[in-house]
Amino acid sequence: MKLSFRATKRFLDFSGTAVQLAETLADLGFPNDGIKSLGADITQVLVGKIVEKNQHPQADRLSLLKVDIGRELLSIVCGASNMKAGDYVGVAPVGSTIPGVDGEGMTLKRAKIRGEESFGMCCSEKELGLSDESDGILILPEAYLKTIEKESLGKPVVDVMGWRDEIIEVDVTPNRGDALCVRALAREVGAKLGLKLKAPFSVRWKNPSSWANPSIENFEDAYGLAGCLVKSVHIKATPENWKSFLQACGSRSINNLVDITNIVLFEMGHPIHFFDADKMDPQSIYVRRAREGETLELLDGKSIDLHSEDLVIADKSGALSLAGIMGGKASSVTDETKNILIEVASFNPKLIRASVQRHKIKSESSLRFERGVMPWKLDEVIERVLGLLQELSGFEGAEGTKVVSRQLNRPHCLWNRKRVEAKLGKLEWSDDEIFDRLRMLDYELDVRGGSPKIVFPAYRSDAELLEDVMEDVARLVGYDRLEVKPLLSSESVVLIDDLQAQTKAADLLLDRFVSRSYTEILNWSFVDSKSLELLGVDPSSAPEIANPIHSEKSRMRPMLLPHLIQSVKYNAERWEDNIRLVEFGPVFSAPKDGLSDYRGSPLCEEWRVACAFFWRTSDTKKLWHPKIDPFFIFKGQMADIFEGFQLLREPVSWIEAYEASNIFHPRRKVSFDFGIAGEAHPGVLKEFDLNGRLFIGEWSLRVGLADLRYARAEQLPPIDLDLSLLVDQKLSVGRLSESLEKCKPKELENFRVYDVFESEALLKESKRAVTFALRYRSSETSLSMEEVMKLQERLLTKIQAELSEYRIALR
Amino acid sequence: MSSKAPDSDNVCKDLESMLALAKEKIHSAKSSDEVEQLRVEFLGKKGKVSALLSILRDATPEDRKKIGATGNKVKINLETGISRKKLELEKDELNKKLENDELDSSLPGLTNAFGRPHPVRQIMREACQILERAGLKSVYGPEVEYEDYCFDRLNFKPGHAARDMQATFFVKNAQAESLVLRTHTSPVQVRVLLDLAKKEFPLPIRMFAPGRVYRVDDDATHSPMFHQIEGLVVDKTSGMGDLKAHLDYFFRQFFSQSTKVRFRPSYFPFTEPSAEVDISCVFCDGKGCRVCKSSGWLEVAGAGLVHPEVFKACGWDPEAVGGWAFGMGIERLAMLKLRVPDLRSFFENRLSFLRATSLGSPSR
Ligand SMILES: [Zn+2]
Repeated sequence: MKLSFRATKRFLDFSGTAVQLAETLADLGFPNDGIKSLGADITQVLVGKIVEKNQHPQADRLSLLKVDIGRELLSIVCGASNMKAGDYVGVAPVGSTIPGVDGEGMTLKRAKIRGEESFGMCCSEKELGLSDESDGILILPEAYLKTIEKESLGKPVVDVMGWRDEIIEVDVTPNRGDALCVRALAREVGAKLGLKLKAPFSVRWKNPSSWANPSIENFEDAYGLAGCLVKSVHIKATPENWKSFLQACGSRSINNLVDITNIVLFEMGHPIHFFDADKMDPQSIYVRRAREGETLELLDGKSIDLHSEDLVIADKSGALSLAGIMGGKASSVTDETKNILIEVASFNPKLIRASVQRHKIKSESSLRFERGVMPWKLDEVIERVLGLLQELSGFEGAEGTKVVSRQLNRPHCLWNRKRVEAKLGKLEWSDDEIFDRLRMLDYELDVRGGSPKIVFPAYRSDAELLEDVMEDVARLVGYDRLEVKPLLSSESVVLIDDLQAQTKAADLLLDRFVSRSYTEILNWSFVDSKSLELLGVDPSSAPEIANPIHSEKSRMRPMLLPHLIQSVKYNAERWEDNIRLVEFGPVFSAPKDGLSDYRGSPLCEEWRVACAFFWRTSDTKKLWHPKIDPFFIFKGQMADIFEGFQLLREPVSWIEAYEASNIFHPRRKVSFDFGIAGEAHPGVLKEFDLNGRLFIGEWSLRVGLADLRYARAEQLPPIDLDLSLLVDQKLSVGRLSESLEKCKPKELENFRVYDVFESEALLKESKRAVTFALRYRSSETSLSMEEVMKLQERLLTKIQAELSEYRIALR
Repeated sequence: MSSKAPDSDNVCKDLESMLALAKEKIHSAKSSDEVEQLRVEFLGKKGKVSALLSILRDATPEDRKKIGATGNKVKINLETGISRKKLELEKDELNKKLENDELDSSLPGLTNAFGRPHPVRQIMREACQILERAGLKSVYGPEVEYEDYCFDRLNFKPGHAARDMQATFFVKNAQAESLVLRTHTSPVQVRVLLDLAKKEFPLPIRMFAPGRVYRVDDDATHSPMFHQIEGLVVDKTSGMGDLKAHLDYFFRQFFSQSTKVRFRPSYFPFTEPSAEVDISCVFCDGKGCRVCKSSGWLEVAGAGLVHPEVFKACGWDPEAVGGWAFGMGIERLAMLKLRVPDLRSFFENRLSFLRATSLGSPSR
């Protein structure tokens, strides 16, 4: 909300600067987005009077003006058409700086426009930053300036017109709809500083006996309604002082009647509406729900179909306005209006909010009604309107006000200093001091008897507990003055922590991935169905978002790898080197699809880790040992990273989804019982336009490292021996290793593949040579070479028996 | 073969003069090979010493003894001299060889560059560690959440304008209850309070909840997914004084010991009183700069005392306990601490950004 510093001072004897006012408001819970000096950037624009207007000889659209700025007569070429000789205008002479249409500032230079010299510019409101749109140049009010012409010509427009002000852009939280006005903010500042609120206006019209007969169909829908008929108003321009107030509030002057509604809105925070009393029946107005099928043409010319939960102000012949949001066109005030009905009301904020969302119409009124405008002192609002009508319009008679309102139960609570101090700490103020300040916020206090009774201010729609009073006390005292207790800690009770194991595993694994050159990335949890389908994944199991931010991000991701592949592509396109990515995150599926990592979660959420390793075709040149296929670099890394990890909880079933997809190369996989890894299908690379080899994997995080217990270091020396075999080419080393594992004697401590040899000669026989390095050791006795040889012979026989369908011989 | 018995004195004299000669030759030797030749020349089987000593066979026992003693002395003397000289020369030769090393040690080493944890992870880890030091325990909760937990039980009344503060993603589902992507980590508070309400000794609760949250917002300063960390402490009496102490501690640990913390009144449906928490600007030390809009302060967290309605909605008696909570955005903290100017760079996943943006990284 734009708060005018000048207007605030009408309500409060505030002696500080605008910055100090803004700071005080911030301390009260009303921070700001900055302070703007109104008029400070156009002080070089001067009041000028057009004394002569001639047609430009070379251009139809241009005029040649002679403008009197007191000290001299300026020749100006002007492209606008809305001025005439005798008009007062804002002149920016050569050398002066104005905001300009883009607001970035422009300095006027002497110019020759189609042969005619121009020594300045007559500015539009847009060029001065006074409004977003303007039609022609700014014409200053003649009636006003004529009287002070001598003193005003050549003086800054802002000073002559009284436009200088400081505007504080105040943020008001949604619970304080009541604070969206000058009076309320001034009251808050007053209560904090101990300054009494001034009555900035005297009510000049005491209304006569009641006459109108407004009513409310349902007091749950509307809390109050007041009407007052005013006869013979005069529609005319608004005086300058009020115009500049409206401008400070970010509004524009239209005419005196429209302006009065806005003035009351910005001053008192209460939206009001004027009906043309001759276009409706002022005696029968009431608030009701809209009828099925009812339509209404609004002020802005738009026709809307009303809904049975919209509220309308109606007379006996039909709906007149969409309550709290916008008036209807048929009953609106026009230049011909003579008699008006003032309507002031209070509605159920929920209904207004629903209507705003339903019809997508917002207004200054709805902004306040949505947050709650209480039926408080409606008659005072009408009196203020009458006062302004007298000042700005004049009228012949007001036929009376009648207010109907629900009997509001103003909430109250009992003062309990002990409880307040238990929460806020020890307070510096005595009870009486606190009560005085609360009264300045329009609290009512009944201190007779035992515990003082605190009645909340009628304008507050959100407060009812002692905690609410506490907050106001804390605000008035200042949060910074509240006591700080020493930092004490005691052991917490045991808390559910469903993700403890997963978090621990993620931390360990992340460090291992990082040590292998993988960098962690973070993708949004949204995915589009298309990118899943592209990879042969059925998207239907992925939960759908009802209101996605982009249509292509409409599902919660059911797996991590699609995002990783996209991130690989993103980096590859940006010439990034050494693309190795790892991501941790939850994946989502319907509750039946799996077991969630969280107890009592509405959907199944499971934490996973996935990685991608992109091997550009050109990377092969950089290998010091070009014989090794990058598949084995990846496989080795994964073996290192997951070494020791085992599944802790129920087995994972999601691997099938990957098996069914087109993501992995069918033959190049690395098996894990809690995940899947391997080389990406060449189709994926083609689809993503990646030139090289891509290795990827995804694992469940329901894993952990087993606790390692003490193990005695072996004391006896081992015996290392090679086992070199000639085998069928089709026998995989993996199968052979499995067999070795199965048949090994207890003295065989470990073994590893050492060499695979293929030659043309061997290939002719469909054979190859595989050599293992074996280490034998016994923890009890020193083994002799003879014993080991014997063990190895027996081992070979066993393997040959186990793999009898293959040819296996000692080489 | 000599027919004459040797004169022991002469032999000894010869030995001594030979020693002197040898010493001189050793001294002036230029290479270890040369020294080796001298060793052969003097000490070898057919060497000069042996030649001189060969007369011992014919010498009298007395002479033999005398010559033998001198011979031994000369031998030992020579041996020591030779081996010393040899070592010395070998050392020089090795050094000379090393000086002409062919390995260009200025070539770079073979590295396996480390990756990096994501900056959000680094900041989250640090925040969690500080809260753990303050005695709070971590609790995690689901990201797809019941609307009831995310709003209603946190005193966001249906139809209240406060719900607009957090633009919400809704998740389609077949269940009766409305599901949302949590807009804040606060539903974890609800889960903990509900879980403990039935326990006999549920106090004190000292917890924090880190995690992802979602809002329908996507522009230069908003991401539809971001991270929060939230703290909740509930005890028989616990109030603003404790809250202020904890946040003072947190921000002094997180930024620096000289960081100042300021509380301002604000509004959140689930706390009363509510506060906005500012820290002294980390860019200008509170003097005022562009980032803090010359105010000297930066808004970093929201906090307050747990609203009695929240206690009630979770099965607790608000008269019997006190509690406070706070929450902050991790990306915001990361931007301040790592000096990242653009929120969106956290989610672009560009390697050069991720590698360069790191706590304690030398590039910073
Ligand atoms: Zn600063």
